[in-house]
Amino acid sequence: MSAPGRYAFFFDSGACSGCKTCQMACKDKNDLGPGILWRKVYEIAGGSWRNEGGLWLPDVYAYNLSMACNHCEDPACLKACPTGAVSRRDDGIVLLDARKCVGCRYCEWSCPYGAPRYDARRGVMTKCDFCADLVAGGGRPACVDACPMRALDFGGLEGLRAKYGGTDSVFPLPAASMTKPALLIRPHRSEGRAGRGRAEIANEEET
Amino acid sequence: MAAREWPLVVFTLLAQIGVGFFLAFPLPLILSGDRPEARSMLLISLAGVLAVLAAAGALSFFHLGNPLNAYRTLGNLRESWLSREIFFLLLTTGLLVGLFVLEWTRAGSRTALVALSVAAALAGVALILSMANVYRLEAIPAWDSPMTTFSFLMTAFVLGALGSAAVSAFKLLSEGGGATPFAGRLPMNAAALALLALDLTAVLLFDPNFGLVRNGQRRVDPRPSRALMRLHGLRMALLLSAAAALVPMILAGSHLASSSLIQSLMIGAFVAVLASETLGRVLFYALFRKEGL
Repeated sequence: MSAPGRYAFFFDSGACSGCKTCQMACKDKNDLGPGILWRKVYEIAGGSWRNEGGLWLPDVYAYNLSMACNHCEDPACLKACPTGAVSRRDDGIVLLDARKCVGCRYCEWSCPYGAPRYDARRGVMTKCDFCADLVAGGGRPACVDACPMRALDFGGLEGLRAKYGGTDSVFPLPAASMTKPALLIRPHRSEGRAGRGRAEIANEEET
Repeated sequence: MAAREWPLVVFTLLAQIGVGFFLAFPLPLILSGDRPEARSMLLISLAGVLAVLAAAGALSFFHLGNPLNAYRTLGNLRESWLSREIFFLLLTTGLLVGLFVLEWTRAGSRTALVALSVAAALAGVALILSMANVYRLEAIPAWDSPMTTFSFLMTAFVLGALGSAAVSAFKLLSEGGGATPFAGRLPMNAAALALLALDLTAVLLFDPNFGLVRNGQRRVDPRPSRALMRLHGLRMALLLSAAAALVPMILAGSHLASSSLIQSLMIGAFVAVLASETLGRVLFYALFRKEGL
């Protein structure tokens, strides 16, 4: 299958139920050990109580963000890696060659999306490779195929933009100008409140 | 701070101390001309700097998950500050080994010694600048500040100057006082005090999470924990006590440089600043918090 420009992920935050099937499908396909998640589902939660005519009502919100490596146009991990283990293909897929990795974890520090993950068993970093083998054979990344809510999609960045619209920067992601991620997100309706308020990642320990 | 960061704390401190001490002690000895009585001290001090840099390099291996690939770390000099840091560590060490061998064998002319020592000094400063840039990551707002570069340089300069003065004082004390080529290093002591005052002011005002001036910062941890604040207070107290210990030295002038009290104060000041800079580095790593995920 020829690359439709730069590959990207699309994620519909409003459609995601937080079931983590994408996370598990990724772990299964890539045979990832305990503690290693190339795709993570973050639960963003916030809110408080609201006084309405003397009655205290719960006023809370929560939404999910399913995030993997965003195969950035300007990858911080590539610039950080001292061994040249990280490379970027013409189709935008950013790959990490664990055979060259020294295990310094500097890519982990530099990535604002927390995408590279350390494999303590082998002493090297690992990360999402966009299921490059499946994509090369005309297939789809395992996470996209597994999502029961059809909240995830992939394809060429411009094609996805034309199909879904969306944005590449929602709370609590960093400014997209930092690394220019190949990512489009349809924000959850509470995303604006989360950005303005004191929302937090409720499952930080898990991710 | 994660336990796995300890090798990096010690690595950065040792490398900065090594470079700073070279700039403050062996380099002025070489540049000040031929002084036969200083030769043994020059060789000992160069060996000391080399031992510190070698220890720093060796300790950095404890941070690696796959040290067998360490030889690949020069593979991205074009883009990675970490590659450049390792390159300048190797270059500085190599130049210092050359300098030591030339001095030891008396094979080099004075011009060669001066050229090599200036090259080693420049490589050493480049090492510290590269080291600071390794930490100036956009994804970690508390580190991505000019204060990181400034504080790494200050660690080298202050501990180098104080280390030089402390070594001179220690030599005088161990010899029971009297004049040596290293007695009365008043300019170095004054420089140490000036640098210390500058460091203290900068930490007080501009430390990314503890400084009084907080304008223009990007999102960082809004309020450090009470335990971290206490450690920061201890750090400031150590810097202040070192500055206070240096003042009598400056006021006493060179005629009192052989006083054992003054010499003990000098060694005490070095120890206090070493403890303070170690605390500062621990606090620096403790502020690790990423913007984004």
